[in-house]
Amino acid sequence: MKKTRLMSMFAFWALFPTFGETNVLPEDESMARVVRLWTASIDELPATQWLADQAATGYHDFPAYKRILQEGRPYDNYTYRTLTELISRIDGSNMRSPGDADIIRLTREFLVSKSDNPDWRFVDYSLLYLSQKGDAGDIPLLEKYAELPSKLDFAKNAGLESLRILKARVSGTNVLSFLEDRDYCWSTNEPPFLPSVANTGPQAVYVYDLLKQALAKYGDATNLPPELVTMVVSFDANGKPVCNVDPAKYGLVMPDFPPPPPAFTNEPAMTEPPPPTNNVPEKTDAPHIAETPAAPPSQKRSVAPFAVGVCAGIFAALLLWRGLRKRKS
Amino acid sequence: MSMLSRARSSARISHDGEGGVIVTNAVFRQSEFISADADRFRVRVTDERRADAESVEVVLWTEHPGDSTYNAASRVMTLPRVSPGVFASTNLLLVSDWDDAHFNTTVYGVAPDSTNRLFLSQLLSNMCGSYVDGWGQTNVFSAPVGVDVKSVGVDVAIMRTNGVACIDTLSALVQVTLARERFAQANITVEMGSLVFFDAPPQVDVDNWCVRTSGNSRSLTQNARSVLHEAISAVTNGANNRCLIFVPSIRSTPAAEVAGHATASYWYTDPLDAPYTDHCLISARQIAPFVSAHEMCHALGVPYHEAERCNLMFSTASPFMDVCSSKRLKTGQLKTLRSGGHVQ
Repeated sequence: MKKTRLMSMFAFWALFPTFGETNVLPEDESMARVVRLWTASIDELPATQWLADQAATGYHDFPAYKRILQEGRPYDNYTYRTLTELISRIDGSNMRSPGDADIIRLTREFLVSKSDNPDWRFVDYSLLYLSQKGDAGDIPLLEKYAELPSKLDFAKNAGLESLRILKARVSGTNVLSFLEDRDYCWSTNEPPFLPSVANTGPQAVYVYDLLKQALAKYGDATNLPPELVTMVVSFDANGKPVCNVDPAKYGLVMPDFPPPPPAFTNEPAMTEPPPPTNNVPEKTDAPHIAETPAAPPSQKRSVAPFAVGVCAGIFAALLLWRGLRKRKS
Repeated sequence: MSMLSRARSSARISHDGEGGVIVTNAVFRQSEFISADADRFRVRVTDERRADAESVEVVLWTEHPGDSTYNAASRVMTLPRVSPGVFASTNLLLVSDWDDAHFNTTVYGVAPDSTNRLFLSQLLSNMCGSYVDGWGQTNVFSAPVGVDVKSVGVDVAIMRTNGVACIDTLSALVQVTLARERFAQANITVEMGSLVFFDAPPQVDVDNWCVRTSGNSRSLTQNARSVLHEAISAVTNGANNRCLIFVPSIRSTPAAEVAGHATASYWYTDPLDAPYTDHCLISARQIAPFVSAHEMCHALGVPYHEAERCNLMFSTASPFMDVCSSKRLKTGQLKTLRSGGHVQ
C-alpha cells in the first residue's frame, strides 16, 4: 500500500511539474545565474555574488535570458531593462554579432508596447540595443521615441544617441566610438565599435582592423577619407574577406587572421528573421506570446516529463485497481 | 561680490585592490576631488579700494535657521588677486555630513587644504560670509543652500513583539538622519513624520516570515501584507509619506535573509499589493548605516544596483564601511529620485 501511495504522488508531480508565476524557477546553473542577475536588486544579492554572476554570464546564458523575456510578464519594464542591459553588454557591443533575432524582435515589441507613454527609467537599454543591432526598419520607432518628452534627460539623450547611431549605421557609416567612458564589450573585451548595418557580423573585425590602421596613418577620425568610413567588407566564395575599396590605395593591409567564429551557436532562432523593411510591429492588446509566430513555449519544452508522468499515473492506477481487487477477494 | 552655492557631498573614497587608498568623485578618479566636483563654488570679491592688494580675507560659515547641528563654524579664508581689485577663492564645496566636513587631508594626502575648503551644511541652510572692504565697511552676505529643493515625507514604524521593540528609537532615527544627509545630494529634504510602535501580527512568525515565496514571484506574501498593513495603519502622517518599517528580521525569499527590502512598485505589480508598495522594511538584526537610505532609493524609483562600492546603490549586503561617509549617488540616480511620484 505504501508503494501505491508513493507512486500516486510521483504521478501527480510528474503530470504537474512546475508551478509559479513565470515558470522560470532556477533549474540549472545558467537559469539560476540569470534569475539572480534579474532579481539582484530585489533580493539585495551580496555584491560578490552579483559581480561574479556578471563576470560569468555570456552567450551561453542567452536561452535563459530569452526564456524570462518571453515567458515572464508581458513587456515588464523592470525585466526588460535589467536583462537588456546585460544583453547589450554581452551582444550589443560585440561588433562580430549580427544580433540575436529573438531578442531583437522582443526588444522591438517591448518598445512598441511602451511607445505611447514610456517610463524612461526602463527603455534606455532597449533603445541602445536596437541602435546596435537594428536596421532601417527600426528608424521610425526610434524617431518616435526621439519626439517623446521625458523628465529624465539622461535617458532621453540615450534615446537621441541611439537614433543618431542607427541612422549612421543604416547610411553605411562605420561608427567609430573609442570613447574611454564607453563600456568594453563583455564578450570580446574590445572597445565598442559600431559597424554599418552591412558590416555588422563577423566581417566587422576586418573593418575595425582597417580603421585602426587608418587612424594610425591619418591621425584622427575627422581626417579619414570618407570611403574608408563607409567601406564594406564581405567574404568571397573561399571565405576570404574582401573590401569594396582597395586598402592598398590608402596604405592599409587587409588583415590575414581567420574569420571569427559566430557570436552564438546555442540554438536556432525561435522565429523567422525580421522582414527587411519597416520592422516596427503593430501595437495590439494581445499578449506578446500571441505575436510569436513560432510554437508557443509550452510546446517547445521536452515531452519526456509529461510522458513519464502519464506512464506513472497509469501504473499507479493499475496498482490501486489491483489492490482493491485483492481487498475485495 | 558674488557667490554660488549648492548642497552637494564631496569626498568619494574607495580602496584599491592593493590596499592603498584612492579618493575619487563620481566621475573622475583624481585626487583633487573638490575641483573636479561639478557643484563646487567660489567666493569672489571686487574692491576698487584694494586694486593693488595681493589678497584679501573673508570670513565664511554656514548656518541653519532651525538646526545648529549642521552649522559650519566661521573661518577666515585668504582670496588671492585674479586682476586689479578682484579676488577669488579656490574651489570650495558644501558637504552634508560630519565625516566629510572633517575629511582628513593628511591621512589621504589629497585635495590640498581640503579641511578648510569643505563646509558642513544642510538643505535650507545659508552659506554666509563677511568682508571688511577698503572703506572699512563690513559687508555681510548669504546665499541659500540647495537648488530647487524638493522633499519626501518619512514615517517610522517599529515592530514590537511581546511588548518589546525590535530596535531602540535612537538607532531608528539615526537611519533617518543618514538618509537625510545622502538625499541632500539630490536637493531632497527628508521630512520626518510620525514615529510609532506596532505589534507584530499574531499570525506572523517574526523570525521566519518572508516577503515573497520565490525569486520570481511578483506578489507579497500574506504575512508581508499583514506586517505592512499594521505598520501603515499605525503611522499618522500623510498618505504620500514613505514608511520605514523596522522588524526583527526579513527574508526576501524563504532562503534569503536581507538587511532591508523595498516593496518597490516596479517589482510588486500585483494590484492587491498596491496599498503596500514603495515602503521600506528594515531588519533590526542586520542594521547597518546606509540600509534605510538605500532602500528609500528603491522605494523612490531607483531600481538598480551599482558596481561602484562608493555608490549608495551598491549592495547593502556588502556595505562599504571603510569610510563612514562613503556612500554617494551619481547624476542619473539623482534625477531619477527627483522625478519620482513620491517626491514633492
